[in-house]
Amino acid sequence: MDTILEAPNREASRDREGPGETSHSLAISVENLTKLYGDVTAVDNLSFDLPTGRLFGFLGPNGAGKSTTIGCLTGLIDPNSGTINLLGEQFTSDSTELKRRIGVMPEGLALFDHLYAHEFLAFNARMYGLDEQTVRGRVEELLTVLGLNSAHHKRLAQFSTGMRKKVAFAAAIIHRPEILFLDEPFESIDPAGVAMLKDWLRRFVAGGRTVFMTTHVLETVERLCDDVAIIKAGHIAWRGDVGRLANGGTLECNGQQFTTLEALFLHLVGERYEHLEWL
Amino acid sequence: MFRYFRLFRHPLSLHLSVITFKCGSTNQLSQRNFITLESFWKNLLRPDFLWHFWTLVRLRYRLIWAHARTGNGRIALFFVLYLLGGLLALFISFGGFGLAYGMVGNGQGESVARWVLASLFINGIGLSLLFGLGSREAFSEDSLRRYPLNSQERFIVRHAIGLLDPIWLILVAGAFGLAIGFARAGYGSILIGFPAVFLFIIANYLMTAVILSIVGIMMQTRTGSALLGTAVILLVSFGPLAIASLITTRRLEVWQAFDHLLQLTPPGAAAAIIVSDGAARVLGGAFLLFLWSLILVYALIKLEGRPRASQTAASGSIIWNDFYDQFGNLLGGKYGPLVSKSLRYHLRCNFIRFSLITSPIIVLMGKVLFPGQGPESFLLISLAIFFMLSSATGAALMFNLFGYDSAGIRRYGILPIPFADALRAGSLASLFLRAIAVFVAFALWLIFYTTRALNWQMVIMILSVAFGSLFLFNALGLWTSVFSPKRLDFDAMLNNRLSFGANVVVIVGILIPFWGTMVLAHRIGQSVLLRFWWIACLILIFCIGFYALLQWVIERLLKSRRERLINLVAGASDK
Ligand SMILES: Nc1ncnc2c1ncn2[C@@H]1O[C@H](COP(=O)(O)OP(=O)(O)OP(=O)(O)O)[C@@H](O)[C@H]1O
Ligand SMILES: [Mg+2]
Repeated sequence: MDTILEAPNREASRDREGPGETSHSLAISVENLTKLYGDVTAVDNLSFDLPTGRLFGFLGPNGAGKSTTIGCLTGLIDPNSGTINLLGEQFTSDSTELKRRIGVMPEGLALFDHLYAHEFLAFNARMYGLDEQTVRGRVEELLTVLGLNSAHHKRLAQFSTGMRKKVAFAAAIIHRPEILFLDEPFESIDPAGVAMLKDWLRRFVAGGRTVFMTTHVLETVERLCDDVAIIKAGHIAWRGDVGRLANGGTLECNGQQFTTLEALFLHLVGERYEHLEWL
Repeated sequence: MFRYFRLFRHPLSLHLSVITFKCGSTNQLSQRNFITLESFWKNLLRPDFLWHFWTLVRLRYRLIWAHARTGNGRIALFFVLYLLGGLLALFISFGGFGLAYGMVGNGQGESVARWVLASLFINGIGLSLLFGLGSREAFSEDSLRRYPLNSQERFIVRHAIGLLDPIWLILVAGAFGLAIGFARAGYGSILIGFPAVFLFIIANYLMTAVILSIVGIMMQTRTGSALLGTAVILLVSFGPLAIASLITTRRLEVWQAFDHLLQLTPPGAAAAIIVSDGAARVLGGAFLLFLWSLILVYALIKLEGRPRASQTAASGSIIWNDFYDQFGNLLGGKYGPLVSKSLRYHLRCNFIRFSLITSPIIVLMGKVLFPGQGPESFLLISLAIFFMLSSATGAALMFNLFGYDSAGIRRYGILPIPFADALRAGSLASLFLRAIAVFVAFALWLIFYTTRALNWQMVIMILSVAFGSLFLFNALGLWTSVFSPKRLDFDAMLNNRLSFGANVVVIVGILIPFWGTMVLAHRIGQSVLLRFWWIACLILIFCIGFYALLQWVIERLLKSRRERLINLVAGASDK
């Protein structure tokens, strides 16, 4: 049976080469992407390239425009201007062939609350054109490994927040996409679940595929991602390889050196320790 | 956590902070089942609650006003006001003055008032079933939990705001018209009549809410739905027959028995207050009406306190290839999964199940809907009813195809399909489900109405008109689904209002065949109608063409509208 999880390969993921060395083609290429909501510029003339085979962390404070960017890159949102190339082809919200090759866990998860987990996953798998036998095999396997088997008599509306997230994650990977877009995948998933997801993601990129994810858990980013961008008010404020921290290296920004990603983040966003008199 | 976010992203959050700061209320969110009648009355009179209440009522009208400032909203508002105005005038002139003046002379004033109020009462229930009862989602139980209101206060706010609905305004106008009419004719006084009308409408609203709650509870299980469906069909089909046969055999006794019974109901009590001059009867009526309201409030509290039946599947293991999957397989890989998802969703939704079960019944109401028509107009009435079958009873499904998807609507944007496919699949599912309703209705019609000679032209005409209307309103449903969508609550029987656009379509779709039949019934005989049976076929072809055309047009317009549609249904505040 065709399984989603490949043979374990725990070491491969940590000993990766620096950015730019492994890959020859670009997974994502964005040029002058802009999205306006009325007067608010959610994404401001954003440009970046991402080679294939990377685990890309897209960080930034609340409201920085991360989810909006993911929305544009996955066809949920139509940008006001700019071009997007995925896997070497131009991408718009009508690019159904390209959409087949990407997997998305969007903000808000986009679940159909009144389906059962297996119905929802099977629906997704069928929409990506998987054959019926593969559909059933993968759905059952995913529900088992994610620990949702005992819950498949409940509708998604009755799932806990973490369970819902796992279902959305499963729906994003069920068709073995080439690029995986994840909006805050780890938040509210239990530690064992997070450990497993991280392991999956490492193997996913080790197999030459690409992950684009946002998260607020900087520690995870330090240990998981090759390549990190921090955005602020819709444009990239810093981009670099955080892998070097593991080897005792530092991150450089505006001529300063930082030993943790958190220190760098706070430097960019501005530390705020105001206290509330009345609290 | 989600709710917390919603709180700050929601446009109401501003008002929330206003309420919190102004009142500094210390009420904590308490258990929903905790309402008792005493605490209910106590809360009603607390000053800080009155302030909350006032703020929320203002908020409701501010929301209406905000909507009215959009282009769509202005057209809709104009239309609704126009309609309301017309209906008000109609009611006040006919329902009130005319009847009161006409009948008072016979000394039957109170009895007439009783029957008029009873018909208003039933209309109130019927209209609410059609259009959905209650206010917008912003004032649903879940939304109100965000405010510093306890459970009793939420109960009061929800229902008081529900009572301010335009539907009830129509009834208020009718009842006021009656009170004014009687006062002018020298019976009762307006001073007493108005409060009575007010209490009467409250009782009517409460009764409707109780009925809808019971229906909602029954619809949660399959057995319940089946039971309810059967009961309603039996009641509507044999009820009038039984009454009719009783009346023909023992006319006077039956009439008097009904009249007596009616005296004990809210319409009877209100009629006693409005019409009679004796203090004892007025007080008696007031007491009765008050008692009814109390009992209904109590019943409503109890019903709403019931925990929701958990929606668990009976079986412990996954069932592959169930009915929905099989149906989907028939449609092939492209639409199959989408259509079976759509069917699953709709057949699990209480409100849609209820409307599907009850809609064929409209056939049996022909005699009630068009009273006083002879056998000559039988065919015309049947045609009108089969036309209305789609416009009047399918709204929840057809006119808001994405309404129940909530945040799930984003999924259509992610999947490797054009967004139009989702719309087309939803429409296909709706056509399929409503076609079943048409066939069931046709079977009922055959059983109950064809004591007369039936010929093939009749069958062709009826089915053509029924399916023509199905296509016509599904076409309009494509339009309202995209341009006037509304986020709906999947589990609620209450609080499921149609959007303005959908309301307009429904109202026009009912009024045109209704007035058309009234006007034509005496002018066109059955034989003339039958001679032109082929026109019905033309209508069917035209409607299918219209459906295809509108689909083509809307799919082209969808691109620019898609993001807005997603935000509206997913609720930009509830990601
Ligand atoms: N549908 C919308 N309508 C109007 N403004 C929006 C909408 N969605 C996002 N915005 C605005 O766009 C900006 C970026 O929002 P976005 O959701 O992309 O932030 P984010 O980086 O994902 O934040 P978070 O970390 O909180 O998820 C914010 O100012 C937000 O208010
Ligand atoms: Mg976000």
